[in-house]
Amino acid sequence: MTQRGDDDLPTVIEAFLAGNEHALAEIYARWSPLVYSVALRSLGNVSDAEEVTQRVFTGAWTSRHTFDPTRARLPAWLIGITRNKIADAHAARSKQARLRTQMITVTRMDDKIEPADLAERLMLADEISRLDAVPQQVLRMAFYDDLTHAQIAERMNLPPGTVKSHIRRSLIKLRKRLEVQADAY
Amino acid sequence: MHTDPELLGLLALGEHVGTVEDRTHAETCPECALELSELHRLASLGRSVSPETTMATPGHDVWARIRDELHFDPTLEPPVHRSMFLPSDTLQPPINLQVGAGLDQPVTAPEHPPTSSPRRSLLATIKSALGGSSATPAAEAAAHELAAHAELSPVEAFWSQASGTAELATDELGRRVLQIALNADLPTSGVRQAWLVHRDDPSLRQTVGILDGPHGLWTVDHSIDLQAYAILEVSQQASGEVDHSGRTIVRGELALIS
Repeated sequence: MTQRGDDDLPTVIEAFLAGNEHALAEIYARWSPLVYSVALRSLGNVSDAEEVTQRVFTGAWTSRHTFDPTRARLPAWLIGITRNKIADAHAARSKQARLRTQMITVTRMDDKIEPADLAERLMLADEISRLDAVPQQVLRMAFYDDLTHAQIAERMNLPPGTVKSHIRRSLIKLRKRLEVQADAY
Repeated sequence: MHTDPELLGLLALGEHVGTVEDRTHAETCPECALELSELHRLASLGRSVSPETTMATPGHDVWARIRDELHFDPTLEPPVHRSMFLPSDTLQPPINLQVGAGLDQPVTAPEHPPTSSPRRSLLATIKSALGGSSATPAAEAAAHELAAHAELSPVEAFWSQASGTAELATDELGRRVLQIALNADLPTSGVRQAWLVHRDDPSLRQTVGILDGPHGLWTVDHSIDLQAYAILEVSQQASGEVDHSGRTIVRGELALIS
């Protein structure tokens, strides 16, 4: 398990609000993958997604006085900004599209999905990938292979009770992670 | 008594478990019902997430651009180890690529979260295989310019057990290096050939080359537009057969990763 480093988030937020540039670097380190991944999924283009990422963090910095930690969590606030910047990018793009006949993208686009939902899915996928090998395998079998806990127990040669516990514990872990996103929308 | 939490987990996944009393309680007790609906929502969300969904990291210069725009200290760097997410390229691919087999530097699954990513290892493998020199930072950045991944799935019933993965990366000399790892019971006769097929017109295809057993490693000429020729196919070919045999083993679309 890699260091998640979210224990000192209140300190980082305090420093961020006070205009400490190191705090923005911290926040960037923690949340730029989420912001960038949401933008990439939505826009389907690396340079557009990077530009959105840049705008989100410069925007977060210049409008930091609008962030109220008692009302929203930081990632939710950042994803709110991301949503706006993605909308801007789509708008700019449709302007350009009138000049060009075809829009070519390489990656799969999820532009019909709300950035907040995309963020949630990405975080969930990320959290699943962080589970230890056995619970992760159990959950993947339950989610994607649609197997019952008894079938999983048989295939993995585990007691059914252990499989049940893994499922429960993994779901709780996932929920805990997503709580970060739960408010502010 | 409240429903056993582990039972709630299974109910949330849609399993028909527990007694009638258990299930009735789970639906009528406000506390248990709330928990059940939350877990159920989570399970539905989890099922809607493609197993391949991964977090990507923006290029290194994005931070530099932010720093410049905000007139920050030009030496200020985000602390890398503090990332809340595993970059997508530290995740294990669903199928062990075994790209290193037979090459200088085998790529093996790390026991711990790797300090260097498999993709970087992949690049190292590519470099050593192609005799490239060690990468400069600029080259590393260039290497990240274009990278694509494809999950290869069976096409015909005969090959229904077949699967594979393909990785495309740009090496430090700007060459687009394509690797394929095929997982199939291969016949002893004939050869396996890789093709890039036009996404809109399957009759348009470019040959990439012949696989060496289950592995393929080639450079892809820049004249081939990978945005158009984005479908990768591996076909079973009779020895000496020039055209696509029509017997496609696996197929997949190259999707950009970053």
